[in-house]
Amino acid sequence: MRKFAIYGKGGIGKSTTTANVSAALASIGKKVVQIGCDPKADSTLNLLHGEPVMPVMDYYRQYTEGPDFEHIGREGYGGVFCIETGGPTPGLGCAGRGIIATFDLIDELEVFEKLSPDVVMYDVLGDVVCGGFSAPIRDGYADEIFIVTSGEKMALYAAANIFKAVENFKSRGYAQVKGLILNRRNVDDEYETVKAFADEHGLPIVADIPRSKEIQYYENKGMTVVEGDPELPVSRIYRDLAQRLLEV
Amino acid sequence: MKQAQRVLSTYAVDMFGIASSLYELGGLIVMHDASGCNSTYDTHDEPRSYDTQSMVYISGLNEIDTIQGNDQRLIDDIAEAAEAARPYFIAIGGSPMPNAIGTDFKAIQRLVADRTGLPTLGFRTDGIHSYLPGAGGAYVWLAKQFVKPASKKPELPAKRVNLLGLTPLDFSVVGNATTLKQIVTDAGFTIQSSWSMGDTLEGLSTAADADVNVVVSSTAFYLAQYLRDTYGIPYVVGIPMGEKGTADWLEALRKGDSSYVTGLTGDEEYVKAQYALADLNAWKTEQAYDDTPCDVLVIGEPVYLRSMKAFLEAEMGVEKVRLLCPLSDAPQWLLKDMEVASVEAVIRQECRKARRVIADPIYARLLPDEPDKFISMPHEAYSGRHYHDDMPIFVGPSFTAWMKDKLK
Repeated sequence: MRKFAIYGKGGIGKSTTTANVSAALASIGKKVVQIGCDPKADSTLNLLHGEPVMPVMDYYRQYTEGPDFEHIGREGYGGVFCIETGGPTPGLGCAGRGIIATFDLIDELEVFEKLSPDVVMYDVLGDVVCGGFSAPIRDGYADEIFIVTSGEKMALYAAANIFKAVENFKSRGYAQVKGLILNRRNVDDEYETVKAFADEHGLPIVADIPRSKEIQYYENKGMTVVEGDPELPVSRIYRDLAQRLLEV
Repeated sequence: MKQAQRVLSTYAVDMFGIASSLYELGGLIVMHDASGCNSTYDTHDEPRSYDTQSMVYISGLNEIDTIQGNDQRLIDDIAEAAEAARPYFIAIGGSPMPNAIGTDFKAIQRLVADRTGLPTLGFRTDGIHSYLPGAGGAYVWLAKQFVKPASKKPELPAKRVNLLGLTPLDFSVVGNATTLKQIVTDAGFTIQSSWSMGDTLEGLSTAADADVNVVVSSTAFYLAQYLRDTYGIPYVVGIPMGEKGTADWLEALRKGDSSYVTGLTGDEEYVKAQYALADLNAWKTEQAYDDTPCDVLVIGEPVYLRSMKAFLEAEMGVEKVRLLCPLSDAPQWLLKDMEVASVEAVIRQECRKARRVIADPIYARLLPDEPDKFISMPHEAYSGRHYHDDMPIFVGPSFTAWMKDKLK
């Protein structure tokens, strides 16, 4: 079982990338679990044709106890099993602790043992603001981290911060950063800028995803572009990325 | 306010369970918490602290380290203490604040082990759950860390016995542990190891050579399941209570009969202690139970409850015995067929339905107008040292006479 965590600046396209990679992996016959680790709970929306799964924290709020296996997640496109941690009411509680509580429940319900996935994708909130948001890369969870970035200054700044935080955690046995995913915003010299950053940190760029209106088009239809039109060039790029992740 | 305890107490928490189960084994036990003094954890629920040296410490967690998630001071302090005390191992557990900020005890375990070179347990207790999963997790860790490969296969009828789950939290230090061991050896068995009163780490390391495990409190049910899965040793659950109860218990040991007082097959799926600790709803709120009256209601820890029921029915002629366990994070296999409630109003209602109630004396506060209804059985994990002098020896044949007198 391969376990990847996808990090990056807020709004950079982590959920889009993660959902498309999950869909691409599913299309080549892999069993995938995607876990959205963000209080917004929108990671898996495009795998579920816009019908969201109830986030685990919402379930706790509504029923005062955690969901069972039948209710912790739901299968979406290609059989991708979708789980959303969700979080407390905005402005209250502790979202990071909610992620840890969800992971505890996933362990207790033996979700991975029951589903035997080939790949688990953790789609994590943009900024590692507290201990809870580092939970996906702790020992026993994701093994490999990929950071989504564009050539924009703030995206690279966030990527540098994530890289630095993960380096600090090395002695703790946490997952390590294995590469960058360039999600283009069409800024000047974008590839060169990101390549320079990648070289500086000793990381490969594992995908170069162009800005594409087709992604938005299919998201408006509640699906990934990989599902919507697998023959599009951008869909092929996501499939190549999925393959590359398996090979890294 | 349903969960507010107005007259009742709370059970010793998860971290107490770790401290109690490891107390005599030469390890450095660190509670990651704000208190500067370990008496609240140690003295009140640890009667051995009066006459046995311990290595139980509190980290002295402060506000700024909590805000910043600074684990380094904890690690440095542990390394310094380990250098001075030279323990055999280190065990670290948490309290509510580290739990709230998601402290990674697994990472701390790794860092401390790397730094000190000592076997280290980092266990994510939260100071909210009961001593049962705390001690349970510590026992399994001990077994994984120190038990040596078996030199022989378990045989029946059993001769070598591991006593599992023996701590003052459930047996105090009034003679129950000594009586238990005496019963076992007088019946011709050899005590292979005692988890964990009156034994050493070296003694426990030979546990794989036993023919049978006897689980005398549910703190050790996880350990028994682990030893079954790893070494094929069958387990028996129960405490020998009364004359017939003692004879039946010894017979169950000889046969390795897992169904004794539990109805279990012995093949039940292994459930990890940390799952109980991860349960966010450890305090059950509302339950609707059988509304008919009963002769005797017994309140307490599940292994004790099951043993008491068998004893009351077989020797005291009590027809309708009802069991109530306030520890909902006990191993779920042991909670079958008993009521689980920790809310005062529910427990009060259950007490009202019963003609007599056998429980820690604190429960008598629920019905102050009916003091004669209650038979006092102080439970160290519940009322600490408060009722030490009233604690009976409930292990062994002599309990028959004691209970006959109380039930008059």
